[in-house]
Amino acid sequence: MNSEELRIGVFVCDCGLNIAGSVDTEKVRESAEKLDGVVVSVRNKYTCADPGQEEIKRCIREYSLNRVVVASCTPRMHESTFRNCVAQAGLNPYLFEMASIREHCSWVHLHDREAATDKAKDIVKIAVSRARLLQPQEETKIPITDKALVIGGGVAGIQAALDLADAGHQVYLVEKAASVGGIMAQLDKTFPTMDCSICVLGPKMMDVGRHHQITLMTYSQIEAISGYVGNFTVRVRKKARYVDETVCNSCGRCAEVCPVVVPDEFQQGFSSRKAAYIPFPQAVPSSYLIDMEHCLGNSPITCGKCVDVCEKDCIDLNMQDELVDIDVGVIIVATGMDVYDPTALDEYGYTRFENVIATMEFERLICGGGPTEGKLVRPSDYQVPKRIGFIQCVGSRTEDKGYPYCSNVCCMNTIKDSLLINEHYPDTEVFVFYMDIRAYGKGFEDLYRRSKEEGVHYIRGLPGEVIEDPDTKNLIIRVENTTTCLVEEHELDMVVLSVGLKPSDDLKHLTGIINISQTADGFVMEAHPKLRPVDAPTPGIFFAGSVEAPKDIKDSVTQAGAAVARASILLNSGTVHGDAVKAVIDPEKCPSCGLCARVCPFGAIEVDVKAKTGARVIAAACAGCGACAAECRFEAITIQHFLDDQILAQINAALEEEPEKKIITFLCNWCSYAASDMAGISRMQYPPNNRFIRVMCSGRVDEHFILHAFKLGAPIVLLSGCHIGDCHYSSANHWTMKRADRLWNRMEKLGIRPERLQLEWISAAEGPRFAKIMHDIEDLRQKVTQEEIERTKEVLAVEKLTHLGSIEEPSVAS
Amino acid sequence: MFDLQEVINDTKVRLCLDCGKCTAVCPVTRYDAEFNPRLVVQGALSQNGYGPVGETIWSCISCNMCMERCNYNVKFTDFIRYLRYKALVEGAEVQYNHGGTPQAIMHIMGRKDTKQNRLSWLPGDIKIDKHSDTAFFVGCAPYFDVLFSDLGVKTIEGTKGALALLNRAQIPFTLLPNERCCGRDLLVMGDIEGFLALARANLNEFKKRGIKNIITSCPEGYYTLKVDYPKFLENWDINVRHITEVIAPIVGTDQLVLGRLNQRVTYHDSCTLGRYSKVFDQPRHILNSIDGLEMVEMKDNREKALCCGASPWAFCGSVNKQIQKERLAQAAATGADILVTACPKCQIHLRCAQKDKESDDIHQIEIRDLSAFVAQSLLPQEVS
Repeated sequence: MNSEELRIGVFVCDCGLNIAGSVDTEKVRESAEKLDGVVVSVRNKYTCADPGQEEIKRCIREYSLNRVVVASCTPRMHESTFRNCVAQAGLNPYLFEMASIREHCSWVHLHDREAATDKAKDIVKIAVSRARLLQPQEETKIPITDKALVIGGGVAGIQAALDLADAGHQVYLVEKAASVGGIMAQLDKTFPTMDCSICVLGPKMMDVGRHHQITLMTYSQIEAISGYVGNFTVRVRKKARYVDETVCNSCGRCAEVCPVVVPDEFQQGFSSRKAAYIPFPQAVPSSYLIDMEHCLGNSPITCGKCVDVCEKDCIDLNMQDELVDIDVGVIIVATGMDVYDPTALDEYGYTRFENVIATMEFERLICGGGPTEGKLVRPSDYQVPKRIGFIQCVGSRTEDKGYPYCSNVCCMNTIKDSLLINEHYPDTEVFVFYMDIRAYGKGFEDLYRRSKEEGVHYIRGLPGEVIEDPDTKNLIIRVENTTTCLVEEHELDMVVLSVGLKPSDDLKHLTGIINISQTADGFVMEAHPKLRPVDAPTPGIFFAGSVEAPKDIKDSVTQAGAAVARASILLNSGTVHGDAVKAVIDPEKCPSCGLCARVCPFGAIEVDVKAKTGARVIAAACAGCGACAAECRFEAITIQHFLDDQILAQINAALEEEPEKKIITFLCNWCSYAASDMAGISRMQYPPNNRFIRVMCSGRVDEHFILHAFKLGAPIVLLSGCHIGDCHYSSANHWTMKRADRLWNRMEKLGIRPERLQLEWISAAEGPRFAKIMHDIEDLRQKVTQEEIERTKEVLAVEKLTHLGSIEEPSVAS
Repeated sequence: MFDLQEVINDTKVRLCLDCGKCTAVCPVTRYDAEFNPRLVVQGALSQNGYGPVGETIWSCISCNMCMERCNYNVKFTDFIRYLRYKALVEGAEVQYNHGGTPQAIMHIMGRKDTKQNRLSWLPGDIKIDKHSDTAFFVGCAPYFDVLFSDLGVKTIEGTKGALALLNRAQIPFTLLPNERCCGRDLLVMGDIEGFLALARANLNEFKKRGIKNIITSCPEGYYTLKVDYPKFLENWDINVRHITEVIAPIVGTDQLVLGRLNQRVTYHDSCTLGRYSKVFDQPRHILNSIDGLEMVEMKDNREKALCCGASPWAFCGSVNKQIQKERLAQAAATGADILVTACPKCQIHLRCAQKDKESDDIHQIEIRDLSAFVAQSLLPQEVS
C-alpha cells in the first residue's frame, strides 16, 4: 500500500434515541478507540447536523486524520453528505467510510441491548478494516462533444431538434423516410383541440429544415454507432434519392411524365403515386425523389422521361448512397411506433371485407389532403356511409392476437373521429363499441362529453365478429351490450377498427447498433420508470416520444423537451464526471482472453483477442459493477474503491471473533441493501448474527471471497442481489447466478454442504421478505455443526482458492 | 374436492375484461337470450366466488367458442364445470334425457367389478396383436348403437373403419375387453366422482395390460384421455393419439393407399377435436387424398365451426335443436351429399334433429363417420 501513517477518526452517532435507545454507543466508542490505527473516537448526538459535521472537520484538522469512519445510519442516506463534509476539511472524499449501526443494528435489535451493542462494535471494526485500505480517488472528467444526434423526425424528434438547436447546440436529425413528419403528418385533426394536424406540424417541419444549427438528413438510416457518453461516433447512410434535394424546386414535371404507377403509402394505398414522387405536398425537404425499386430503369431504352423534362437538371439516376460519419456528445432516440395490422384478427374481416378499414385509413379518407379530398366515402361504392361503427381495443389489451397493454390514444382518437364525422355529415349515425373509455388527459373528458351530446352512440361491448352482407357490402355486427346484458345486432355501412400501437419494427435494427434494450412489451427500457423516464440506462442516450410507449402528441412534445433538458445538462457542462468506482486492468497480468469484455453489460471493455494487446477499460462507459473483476481468472482486474483486498479485510474483521456465530451477507447497493434498509426503517426484528458487506453489485462477489469466508470458519454465507432482469447494471447478476452454480458444484466436490451458501434475489421494496430471510438463515446457521466448520477449514486450508496466489490475508497496513 | 380459489386462479376468471365477445359469439345465447357466459362469470365472481349463478349454468354446451374469442383465454368451460359440481353437491336436480340411461350405464361401468362383453361386434378379418403395448380405445361405440338404434347411427362402423385402416397400414394394436367409457359426459356435468370412478377403472385396465400408447377414433375420448386424465390421475403416462393423427402422415404413401370415391362431402369439425385439440388439418388431408372426392367447407369451419348442439345427455332441449338445425342448414348450403364427421356424438345429435322428417327447415343430409367413410375407399387387398 503506501507508507503513510494511518490516522483514523471514528464518529459514533447516537442519532437521538434512534441508535442510543437500543445500542450502548459509549461502549461502541470505547471499543473503536482500541482498534489499530484509530487515533480518536468521538460520540455525537446527531452527526449529520451542523454541530456534528463541524466536529468531524475540527477533528480532521486537530488530529491530522487521513481516514474518517462515521457509524450512524445507512450510507444510502448520508454517504454523500459526509463525503462533502470531509472534502470541505481538505480530505479526499473517498477516504471516508460509513458504518450502518441504525438500519442494520439499533432498529432491528430493539430488545437485546447487549447483542445489539456487540454487533455495533463488530460493524465499526469491519468499517475500520476497510477504511485502512481506502485510497484517495479522483473522479474522472470526460470531455463532451457539443453536438447532438436526434434519431427520428416525427413530432418528438422535430421538437427535440428545435429545442436543442434553439439552445445553441449543433444538431443532426436523421429520418429514415424521405420527409420528416412521422405519423402526425398523416393525421387529419388532433385531439382534444381539433386542430388540423399538418397545419400545426408544417411550420415546425419547415423550421427544422432551415434552422442553421440543424443538419437534416432524410431518407437516411443509422448504420453504426460506437463510443460512449460525450463521444459517440455515428455512421449514417444517406440513401440515394436520385434527385438533388438542394436544387429541386418541386415543379412536379417528373411525376407528370413518369409512366410507373404504384399505391401511395402516405394515402394508405387508397390512391396512387408515380415512381418519381414527393411524399406529400408539405414534405420537408420539399423535394421529389425516385423510387428506384419501381423505376423502369436507368437507360434511355427503357425510360428516362423524368430526366428529359426536369427544368433544374437535378435528376441523376446514377446517384449512390452516401456514408457520412459524425461525432456527437448525446443521442436522443425518437424513432416512434408502428400501427397494429388487424389482418390476423380474422373475425373482423379486415382485408376480406372492403368496408372494414383501420384507423390510419380513416384519417386519410376524412382529411382534406386525402385521396377523396375529405369526402368520407366507403371503399365498395364510394357512397357516404350513413351508419359507421368504431370497434375499440383492436390488437390491444389481449394475450390472444395483439399486445397485452393499452395503447393509450385510441379512445381519444375515436372520440375525435366521431366529432369530425358529426361535423361533416350530421345525418350519419356513429356507433362506438368499447370496453372502457380512457379520457385521462386535459380536455379529454370534455371532448368525450361533446361527442355524447352530439348523439354518438357509445355501446359498452366488443363485437364477437363482423359479417358482410354479400349484396350490399354492409356489415353486420353482433355485440353484447354489457350494460343491458342483451345481444344486439347492428347493420352498418362502414366499420373502423380502432387499432392499437406497437413498437416499431426498426427497433430491432437499432438495438443491434446502440446499447439500448427493450422491455417485455417491446418498447425501449428507460433508466427508471418514475425518476428517470427519458434517460436510457446507458449514459448519454435519451428517449423522446412513442419509442418509449404509445402516447399522444402533447406527451411526445413534453417528453422531447424533457429529453433535451437532460441532454443539455451534459452538453452545457462540457465535461461529464465519472464515478470513481471503475474497473482497472493490470496489463501485466492480462492474457487477452476476452472473458471480461464478454461479461461486461455495458460494452465498456475493449480487447483484441488475436493481437493480445491486453484488455482496456473505457472508463466513461464503465459503471463499476465488478462482473469483470469477479470473472477474471488471472486476477488482472479489480474495482477502484471496491478492491479485493478491501472486501477480504472486511471478511477478516467480521470473522475475527466467534466466527461460528456469524453469517456473512453480501448486499448489493441498489436492491438488497435497500431492502435491508427498508426492513430497518420498518423496525422489523431479526437475529443479530448477520454481518453485512456492501458491494455495488452482486456480480462483484468473487468465488474467492466466499471460500475465504468459509476458510475462516463462517457457517453460512448469503449472497444477495437484484431480481434477475432488474439488475441495476443490466445483466451483471446473470453472472452472479452462474458463479453460484459453479460454486455449489465445487463445494459439493470439496465435501462442503452446498446449502451453506445461500443465494437470494431481493428487490428494494421487499423489506419484510428480507427480515424473513434473516430469520430463515439463522435457523440454517444453527444446524451447522462445529465439526462441519472445522472440517471445512481443514479442506480449504490446503485447497487453492480461485484468485489466491498473490493475495494472502491482508495485514494491517501501515 | 375443488378449492374455489384454486379454480378461480386456474381458470383466470378474474382477468375477464367484461367485453361480452363470448356472449356475442355463443351459439346458445343466439337461441336463448337468458344464457349469458359473461354474466355467469361476473355473477359468480361478484361475491368472491359465491355469487348467484342460477339455472343457466346447465345450458352451456361446452363448445369453447367463447374461449376462441376471449382476450385472456379465460377457461370458461372449466369454470362452468366447477359451478355444476358445486350445484350437484348442494343438491341440484338434474334433468336427464333418455331416461337417464346413458348416465346409469356410465355409473355401472365405473364400478371396479364390472365385467363387460363388449367385443362381440369384432369382425373376423380384423387382426389384433395381443402383445402390442398400443391399444385401440373403442369407448362407448358398442353402447351407442344399442341406445340410439332408432337413429341408425351405427357408431361401431366407425370403429371398424378405423381398425381396417390400421390393419391396412400394418400398425399393430390390441383391444381391451374391459375398458370403460372415458367419462367425459360425467365430467362435463360436474359429476366428478362418477368421472373419477371411470378414469381409475380405465387406468387400472391399461396398467394391467401394460398399455403405453392409445389410439382412438372418438374425439371426446381422445381429448379426455390426453388432457383430462393427466390432470386428475396420479400416474398417467400413456401417449394418446387420434386416428387422424396416425393416418394423415402416411396416407398416400406405400403404407396406406386410399382408393376412389366420387362424392361431394363437407367435413364437420367436432368441438373436442377442433377447437379443443386443434386437429383441423389431418382429417382434411386424409379426405383430400381420396381420388374423386370433392370436399367443400361449410360457412363456419375450423376454429369457427358451429357446434353440433351436443349435451351430456342431460338438459337437452329446444335450444340444442335450433343449433342442430342451423348446422344442418350450413351443411346443406354447401351442396354436399354427405356430411362427414369424426365424432360419434356429433352424428348422434345431428341425426336426432333429423328424426323430425316433417319440418322442411331440417335438412336430411346423409351423415357418415370419417373413419368408416375413408375405409370404404380402401381397395380390396391382394393376398400376397
